[in-house]
Amino acid sequence: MKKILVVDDSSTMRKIIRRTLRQTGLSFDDVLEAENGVEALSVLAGDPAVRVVLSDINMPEMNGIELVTQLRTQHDSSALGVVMVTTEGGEAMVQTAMDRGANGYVTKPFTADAIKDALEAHLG
Amino acid sequence: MVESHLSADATRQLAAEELVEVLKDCVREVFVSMLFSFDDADAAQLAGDAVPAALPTNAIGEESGSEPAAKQDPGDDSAGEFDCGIEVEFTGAVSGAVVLRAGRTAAEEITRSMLMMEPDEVLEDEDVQDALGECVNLVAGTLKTRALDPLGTFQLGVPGPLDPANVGPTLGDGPSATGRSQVYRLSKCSFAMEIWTDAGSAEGA
Repeated sequence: MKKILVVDDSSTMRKIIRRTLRQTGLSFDDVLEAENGVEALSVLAGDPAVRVVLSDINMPEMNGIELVTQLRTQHDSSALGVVMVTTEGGEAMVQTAMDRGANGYVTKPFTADAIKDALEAHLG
Repeated sequence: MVESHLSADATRQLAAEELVEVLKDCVREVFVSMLFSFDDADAAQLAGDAVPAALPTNAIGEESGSEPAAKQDPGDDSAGEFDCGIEVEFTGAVSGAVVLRAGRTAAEEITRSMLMMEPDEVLEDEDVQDALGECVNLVAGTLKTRALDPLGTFQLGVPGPLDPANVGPTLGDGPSATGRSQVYRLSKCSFAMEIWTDAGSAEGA
């Protein structure tokens, strides 16, 4: 089983990402959703089939940087891909995310190709 | 820091000359990539060269002389009359907000396009608020990256409903008079994507 977890506080963006994932042609079995980092950790704890997380950065309760930091420092997440999908396009934020352990960074608005490129290595 | 050597005049000039042009590019990029009912003709309109209801723009921080957009074809719900609005505030060397104002028809058309909904699918108010919020958030984020970040450190707020007193009913009303306006047209209706700046914010840069 190959599952993708979409983490975004906007239900609209979660729907857009779901639709975009279908357009990529990538092979996966299911898409799960969480509204913030806290929910994401809960989902991940209960479902080891998640291969990759697509996470927004600016979210209430636990943001995407805090999420990837927790995943890399407090959980065995070496096999889990984490790709940030955010409107934050500044170089400093990209560097911060990668330094904390993100595997990829996609800036909104995005194309299906950008999402596909970021996910391919984790769903192969 | 970049802003440390920018005078208030320089900040104002940069903002005044660039922000609205960048806004148009940002709106086009967001709408073409995220609103799936848009075609090439819509994209051309979003580029700003064929927008029938385009408004004169005014220097940011100065009083506006914007006139309400003229009424369009019958069936237009709001070529200048809006009943809902969403804003994303930005703070930094220049403070203000990116604002979307729309009539109900335009708001629903944007939402259905973003969510790829069928015409007969029921649209909840919550869907409309969230979709418009995400739309403004995308435009504001793109604007921040392209135009604001080079001016210094800026922070974006979260999308929120506009104070009803500021929604309209027409362009040029209320606090929007201190900002710039550009009206964009969807297939049968209009919406305004605007940059509002806080009066005097550039002087504090």
